[in-house]
Amino acid sequence: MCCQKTTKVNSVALSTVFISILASVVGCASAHVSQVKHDPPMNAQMIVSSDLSGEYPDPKRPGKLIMTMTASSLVGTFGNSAGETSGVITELRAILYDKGIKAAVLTAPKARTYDGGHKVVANGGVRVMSVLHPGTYLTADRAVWLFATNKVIAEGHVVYHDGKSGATFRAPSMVCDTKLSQFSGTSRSSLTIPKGF
Amino acid sequence: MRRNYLLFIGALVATFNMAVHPTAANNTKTKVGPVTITVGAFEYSRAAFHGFGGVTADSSQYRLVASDIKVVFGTNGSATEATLVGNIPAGKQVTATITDAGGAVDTINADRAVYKPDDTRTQGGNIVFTGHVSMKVKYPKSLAEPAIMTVTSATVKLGISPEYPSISGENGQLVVTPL
Repeated sequence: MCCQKTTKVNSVALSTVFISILASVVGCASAHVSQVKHDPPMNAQMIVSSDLSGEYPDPKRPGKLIMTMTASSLVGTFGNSAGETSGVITELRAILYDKGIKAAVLTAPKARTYDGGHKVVANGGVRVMSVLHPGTYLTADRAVWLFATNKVIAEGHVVYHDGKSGATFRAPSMVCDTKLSQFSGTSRSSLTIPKGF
Repeated sequence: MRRNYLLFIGALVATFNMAVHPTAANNTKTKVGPVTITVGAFEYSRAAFHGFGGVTADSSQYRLVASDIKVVFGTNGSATEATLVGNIPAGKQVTATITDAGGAVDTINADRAVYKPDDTRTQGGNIVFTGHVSMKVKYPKSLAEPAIMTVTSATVKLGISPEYPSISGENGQLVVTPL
């Protein structure tokens, strides 16, 4: 069982650990630490709350970003037996970039980031708003954003609304690009065109 | 006792053009949209939609069943062309069920159907059916059975007034069964 002991954080000693986990989970981040739960040293859990924010630089494009994010809290587990670090972000609001350009805004009640922000797994009711195409959005129960392949994989009650045509897609799952410009689905789906044809 | 009227089955083989207008039982304007397209799988870009694996397109005026559909969107986001095709090698055609304002239902079968908007009337559009086209039209009421026509092409005109949808066919053979 995990240790449930809770202590107030007011020492510099924990800041090194804190920065370490944020660097892994939130990228180059800033946050206000309100409380910490910690396990024995190699299986510790940290809760960071209030006004969490971070930036993920694009390793291939100096000065460019792949994502910026804000969140209300982070539960991070670091230093497990495999030496891995991960964290659950709540109330995520992430700006996703495509080739250094703002492409979409992703919001979700819960999310995890992997690989230095190159992969975001969001769930609990995900909404992706296109920045380039006003009024165009996607909602789904779950979504995975993959920076390397420029894809959003959405699952569960997926709805895509095209702000230009007013067309609405409904599908169990679909895959689209970060800009929400094009997508595809391999399961039974429906498209509603409001003005008809 | 058997009905004492003469059941006449006539077959007219000729080149003709005909038009079928709906019964227009009321003056309520019929909405053209929305249309809901259900597909087995799809690909979409903001310029075009491709649905395949079985397609059904439903509106208040028609139902189209096909194997494949491609919809092209214009710069204003509206559909500028929609093409539906049947799976011809498998012997499946495009099937259209046309419902007019009076509730009468006509059917059209064809290899291919192409929609294009028609700006000459409000929310106007035409669906042209080609390739082994056959129509079963419930007109006029004096017929014992729906008229069956085999034509080279058929056109369904869409619009928001009660006279639409209307059906016309060109160059075909008509089989009627009068009362």
